[in-house]
Amino acid sequence: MSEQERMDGPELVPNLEPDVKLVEFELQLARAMRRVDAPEGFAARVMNTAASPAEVKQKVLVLRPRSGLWRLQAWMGGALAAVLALGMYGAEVLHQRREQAKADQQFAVAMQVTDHALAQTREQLQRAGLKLGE
Amino acid sequence: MLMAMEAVEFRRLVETHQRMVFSLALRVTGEHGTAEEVAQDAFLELYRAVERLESEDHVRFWLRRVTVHRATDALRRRAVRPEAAAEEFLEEAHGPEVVDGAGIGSGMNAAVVARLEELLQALPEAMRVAVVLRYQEEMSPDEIAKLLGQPVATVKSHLQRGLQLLRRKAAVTMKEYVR
Repeated sequence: MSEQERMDGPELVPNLEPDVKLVEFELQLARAMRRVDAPEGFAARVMNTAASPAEVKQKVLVLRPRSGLWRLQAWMGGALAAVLALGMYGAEVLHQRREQAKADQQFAVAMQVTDHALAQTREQLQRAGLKLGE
Repeated sequence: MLMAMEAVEFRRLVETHQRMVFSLALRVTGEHGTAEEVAQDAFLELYRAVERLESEDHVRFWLRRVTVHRATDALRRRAVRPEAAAEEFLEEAHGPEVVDGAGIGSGMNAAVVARLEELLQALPEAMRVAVVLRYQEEMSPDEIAKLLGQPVATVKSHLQRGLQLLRRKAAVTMKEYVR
């Protein structure tokens, strides 16, 4: 005998009968399983508990998921501030680089001017029979 | 504190559904005190969630689901012994009198009803829940499947096996009533 058969007990009904007997049993079961009354004063106890400060507080707490939008907004605000700060830092770096490039360019021009002036001076000296550095 | 309108509406919901919720909790847990706690918890959850529920049908569906879940949670926490719980059910829910059969056909002896409740408590949890929803709440397998979030085939299997188990046990212990 299998474990299931031991649990179920002996099969008392012939093969052709179970459906009819099962339907009959279903009707008996449905009659037996009607709803029962809640205990006396149940609704009043529920109402009292619902009106208690602890429950009201919990209701407020439970409503917090609705404030998820608020949390999202706060998070987005933080993210926006971070992006702005990063942008300002980036702009500052860019500005400094441009200034640096401009200074480099000015230095290069100055060097060219100096080189040019030196070259002219060298030519004039050569023409006068002198060599620069001698 | 509860706002006046909110309180009136909530009280109406409690009074409308308390028999359903308490009966479901009692038949799943098999214990009177636990069933009342489960039913209270279900209504308090309803109180917190009622603004999200759209219709009376939605409230009923929601209450059935929450009650079944809370009742099975309580059952697991308590690790109840079914026999002891069923004895308590017999004493508290039915008493010695004959159950009124008005509108149903013949009246049933309270001892028979209590014995069926006792057999119900001996069913595995999943089968018991399916049987209670089917025969107490008169829900179809499709509706039960939706409520429990299970495949319809699973629910049908639980119902079929649960019913067969109950009938076989009843045939052995209640020969005079089960034909």
